[in-house]
Order: sequence, then C-alpha cells, then structure tokens
Amino acid sequence: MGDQGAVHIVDDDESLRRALQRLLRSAGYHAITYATAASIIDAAPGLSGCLLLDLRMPDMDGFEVQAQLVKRGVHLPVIVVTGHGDVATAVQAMKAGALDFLEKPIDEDRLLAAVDAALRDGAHKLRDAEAAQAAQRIAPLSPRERQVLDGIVAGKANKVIAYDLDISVRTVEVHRARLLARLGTHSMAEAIRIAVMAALVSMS
Amino acid sequence: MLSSLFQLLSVQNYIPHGVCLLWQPGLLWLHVLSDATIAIAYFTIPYALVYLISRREDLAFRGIFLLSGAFILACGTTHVMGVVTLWYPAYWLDGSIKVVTAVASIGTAYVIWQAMPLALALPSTSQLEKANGQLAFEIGERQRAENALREANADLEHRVAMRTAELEAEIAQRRRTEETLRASEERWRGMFEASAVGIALTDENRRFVAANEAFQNMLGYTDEELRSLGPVEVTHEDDRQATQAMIDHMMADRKAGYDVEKRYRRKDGSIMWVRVSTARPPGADSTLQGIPTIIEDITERKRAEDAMHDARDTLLRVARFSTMGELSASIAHEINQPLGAIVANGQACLRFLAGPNADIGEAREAVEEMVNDGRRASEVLRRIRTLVKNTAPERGPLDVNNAISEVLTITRQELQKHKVSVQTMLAPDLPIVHADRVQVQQVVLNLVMNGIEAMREIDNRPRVLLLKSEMSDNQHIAVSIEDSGVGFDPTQVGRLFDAFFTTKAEGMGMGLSICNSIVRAHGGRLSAAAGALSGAVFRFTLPAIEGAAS
Repeated sequence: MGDQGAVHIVDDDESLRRALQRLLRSAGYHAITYATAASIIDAAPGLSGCLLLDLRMPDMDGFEVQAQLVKRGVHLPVIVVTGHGDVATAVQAMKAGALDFLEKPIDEDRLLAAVDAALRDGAHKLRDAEAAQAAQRIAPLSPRERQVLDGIVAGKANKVIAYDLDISVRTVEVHRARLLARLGTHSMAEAIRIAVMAALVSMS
Repeated sequence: MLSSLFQLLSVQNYIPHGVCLLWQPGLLWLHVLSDATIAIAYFTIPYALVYLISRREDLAFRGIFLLSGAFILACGTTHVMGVVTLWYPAYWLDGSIKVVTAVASIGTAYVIWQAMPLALALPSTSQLEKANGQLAFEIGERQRAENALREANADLEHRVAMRTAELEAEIAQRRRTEETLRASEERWRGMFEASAVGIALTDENRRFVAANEAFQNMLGYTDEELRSLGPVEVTHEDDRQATQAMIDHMMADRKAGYDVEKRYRRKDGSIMWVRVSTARPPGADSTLQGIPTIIEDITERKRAEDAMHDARDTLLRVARFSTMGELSASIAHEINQPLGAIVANGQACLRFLAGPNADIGEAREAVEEMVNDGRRASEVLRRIRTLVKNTAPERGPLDVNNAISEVLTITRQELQKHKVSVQTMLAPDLPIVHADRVQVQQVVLNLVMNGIEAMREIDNRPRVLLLKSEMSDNQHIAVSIEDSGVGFDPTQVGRLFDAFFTTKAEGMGMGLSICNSIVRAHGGRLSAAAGALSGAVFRFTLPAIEGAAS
C-alpha cells in the first residue's frame, strides 16, 4: 500500500499507539506512529494519507497541531481522537477542519470506517453529506429532547441533565428513549455522532 | 477507932518531958524556942515546895518534891510535939507522928535514891547555860538559815512565777502555733479531700498509702481497697509495662518526675483516660513517704480529641476525594488508555486469527500487549483505590520517591491538559520514612494541583513543575515541588497554611492547611518560598527512619 494510504497515528501513549497501529495493520492499513505533536508537524509536509490525532498531547494540543499543519500548507485529512464525554472538543476540532472524530475507547468499526473514508478522495464531501443528513434527522426532535441530547453530548449523566433541566431522572430517561427512536437508532454513540454532525451544519 | 484516937491522946500516967528538964525555965525556953523555930521553918518549906511545884510546872521530880514536903511537914510536926510533950505527955501521939515521919522520910529517902541517877542526869545550870548558849547560837544559826531559806524561798517563788509566766506564754505561743498548724493541716487536708483532681501517694512497696476522694471516685475503689492496690494494678493492661518502668525510674532516682497520659482500668472494668503527673519522691527527712501523684480524668478530652482526629481524618479524606474528583477526568483517561489499547489489540488479534491465513505471530504479540495493558490498568486502579480508600490512616515504611511517582501517574493527564511539563529530581538512595502513604500522597497531590493552578494563567514562559526529593539533614528527607506559576505575595506567606485562606477565586483555602496538618502530624515541616522558576516552591520534610539512610 505504501505511504499513499498511510495512517499517521499521533498519540503520546505508547501502548495505545502500538495497539492502534496493530489494529490498522490487521485491517490491511499501513500505519506509522508519532509520539509527539512536534514530530508529526516536522514530518507532515512530505506525508500523504491521513492523520489519527489525539487531541490531548503533552507538548501541544490538537488544535494547535491542526493550525500548524494548515500554516505549513499540509492538508491531510485529520481524524481527531477525544476522551470520553469530550464531544464539545470534537465539535470544535471539526470546525477547525478535522474530518471526523473518534471517542475513546475507540470503536473498531468507527475507526476503520473513518480511516477508510479519510483515505478516499472527496472525503470532506462525504462528511458534509453526512452532516446534512444528520441535520435532517435531528430536526424533528422537540426542544426538550434537543436539550437532553445536548446534555448527553456534553458527557453529562442522566442525573445531571435532570438537575440542569429541573426535571426528574425518569423524565430524562423517557426523553432519551424517545429521541433515540426519532433519530432511528439504538446506539447512543450514533445519536451523539448525529448531534455533532448536525452541529457542523448549523455552524457553517 | 475513936478508942485508938483516945488512946493516942491519952496521957495516962506519963510524966511530961519538962520534968526531965527539971522545969528549968532556961532549958525549957531553949527547947521550946528551938523546936518552935524548927517547926515554923519546917512548915514553910513544904509550902515553898508546893508553891514551887505550882509555879514551875516543868519541874522534874515533882513527886520527890511533894514527898520531901510531906516528910519535912512531918518533921516539923515532930518538933511541935517536942514542945507539946514538955508539958503534955502525949507520947503515943508523938511516937505515931514520928512513925509517920519515919515512913515519909524512908519513902523520901527511897525515892530520892531511886531518882538519883535521873537527878544526876539532869543538867546542871551551867550545863544548861552552856546548852542554852549553844541553843541560842543554834537558834541564831537556824534563824539565819531560816532567813536564808525564806529569802531563797522568795527567790524561788519569784523565779517560779517568772518561769510560770514564761511557760504560760510559751504554752500560749505553742497553742497558737498548733492552732496555725491545725488550720494549715485542715486547709491542706481540705484541699486534698475536696480536690477535683485525684491525689494519691504511692509508697516504696508500690501501694497507695493515701488517696483522696476524687481519686477513689475516679476508679470506683474505696480508700481501703486502694491501699491493697498500686499504680500498676489500676492501670490498663496495655499501659502497665510503661507504668512499671516509670515507677522503677522514679524509685531509682533516675527520673525526677513524669507527666504522662495513660489509661486506667476502673473497678467496674471500664477504661478511663488519665493524665498522671508525678513529682520526685520526697527526701528521707520528709514526712511525706512515697511518690505524690496528681491524677486528672481526661477521658472526655480524649474522647473529644478522638472525635477531632476522626473529624480531621474525615476532612482529609473528603479533601482527598474532592481532589480526586477534580482529577476524575484525568484518572478516567489514565484507565481508558490501557483499556483502549486492550480493546484495539484484542480486535487486531481477532483479525489476525480470522480467515485461512491466520498470523499467529502478530496475534501473540497483540495478546502479550493486552496482558501488559491489563496489568497497567489494574495498577492504575490500585493506586486510585488506595487514595480513595475509606480506611483509617496507617503509618508504615514508605519510599517517598515511589509515592511521588504514583501521584505523577494519576496527575499525568491533568498536567498534560494544562501543558505543564514535569521534571523530577528524585534522590536515588533516599532513606525510608515512617508515614501514612495515602496522606503523604495527598500532600504531594495537593501541591501538584496547586502548582498546576498557579500556572494556569502563565503564557509567557514554559509551565514547569519540578519535583525534587533529597536529604534535608541527617534525620529528615525533604520533598520540594516548584512551579513556574504566579507565585505568592511574600507578605502572605504567614497565612498560606491557615485554613480558609485562599488566593483562588474558587478555592476553599483548605488544601495547604490540610497539607500542613498532615506534615506536622508526621513530625515534619511544610514551608513555602519563592522559587527559581519565578513561581513558588513548597517544601516539606519527613523524619527518616533511623538507620535507613545509606
């Protein structure tokens, strides 16, 4: 496959870095690992493929890496990796040009799908299409359901959402179930993704 | 009778005696005058004698005088009869009178002779005079002696009076002294008896010889029961050895006194805390025989202290939990990293094993990684668990470097998130300290979190956190945590460790106060100073275990 389709993994955690590399290798991708933000920025101008970037790096955060890459004229598709419940950061990163986001712990299918998409031509268009579709799916939600979904996206527990909205936990659960049904999914992760993608549309 | 009287007076035919004288007038007169004169003279003598006897009652031989008187009277009568018989010849009467005279004279003679030795023994006048003189002299002597005696007596009486007065004064003085002493005694006894604190006296046999009411009430023993007990017997079993040693030292004069807190076992078996203060046993010349001891019931205070300790431990725990809460995202990340790696490795492994061309080598590598990551995750969990454990503080040997490293693993993400680069300078051969691991880690954790907080606003210089461990002196190790943050106002350094003192908008002001109390409880010191990285440096010491230093 060569460098053409390489996945450049940037993560300060060595074992996770190696594990992701191994997983991608097992799926037939060529993956190269970088321990620091600085090392990828230095190497980036000569690279092709896509970037799997952990937003939280010791020497510099993901946004800065993105900015530096843009500054150097590198336009590699970037998939950002965020901590659990840190969707707000994901949204911010995507706004800054990231193609997709992955929440830790990284789901295999989502990873492979994202990498696959990133390595294709016109990846951004695909993403935009997904975003538009997400916006459509999210539109029918009631304002209260939107509020509950926002809370979930922000990584809040049901209890906290109930407190914030001054409703009972039971009601939050009812809203959760209803919004999942309206979005046509059973996965909360999927619901979050839809919310994030829809947010991209509303922002652009 | 009458006839014999007549016969006496009868003259019968006798011839008057004048006849014999031939009636010659001259001779007659001679006889008559002589006999009459003799008779008169003889009659006066008895009278004189009787007179003498009557006047001189002290006269000796009164009988002789009377007898002599009678004999002379009789003689005189014979002479009268001599005259009578000249003319009237009553010779019977004359003879009878002579018989009487004879009898009287013989009796007188007999009595005189008989009385002769006595009469001879009678002192003579000169003798009496001499004796008198002697007597007079003696009387004079005696008078002088009596005078002297009288004088002596008077003197003696005077002296006795003086001495009596003195004695009375002395007695009065003594009475006053006794009164004072009794009052003093009563006062002291009153203090002893009424004292709210227990007072007891232990003799050389280690028995209570005196115990006041407060002490009896404390233990529930009577005074009598206490006399068969001693300080060791009433002490709680776990404290007996120390008490024994204490008394040994006191008895051996190795220690002047003790002031200790220990437990007693009451008569009813319950436990009480007391503060026992003993003074040096009084010297041999003292009336106080034994070791005086003051015992104060501090059970309530101990209870309060225990409650305070519990409250403090709870506070420390809550503070720790709260800090850990702040770190929860970082901690979750710390666990999620290995978990994510495990999942990814597992999925990779499955893929390598799937299909006809299974890559066993890759699969094994993946599984090996999974095992390592699994261990790593459980290690992180273990560290977190110890910090949020709800157990009582327990001190033990602690490797401070190791404790610091562990804190750094759970704060790594937090440090990263705030773009803080960590530098460590941990002395490799640091001695072990005796400390509660969790509490020491809590201090390090707090100081690390404070450092992060202090560097939050710093953009013009690198955010650096420097952790250093070293020997402070021979007995202490020191840990310093330095940041390149905003530092603190030097004028506030004195208040930094006060509770509720904070410079942070959202701070409670408990962090440093808690650190300080932990370090102090461990026998160390926490200090703050301006650091070389233009921020602050917090440094705490902990006593090293003796002999542990290499």
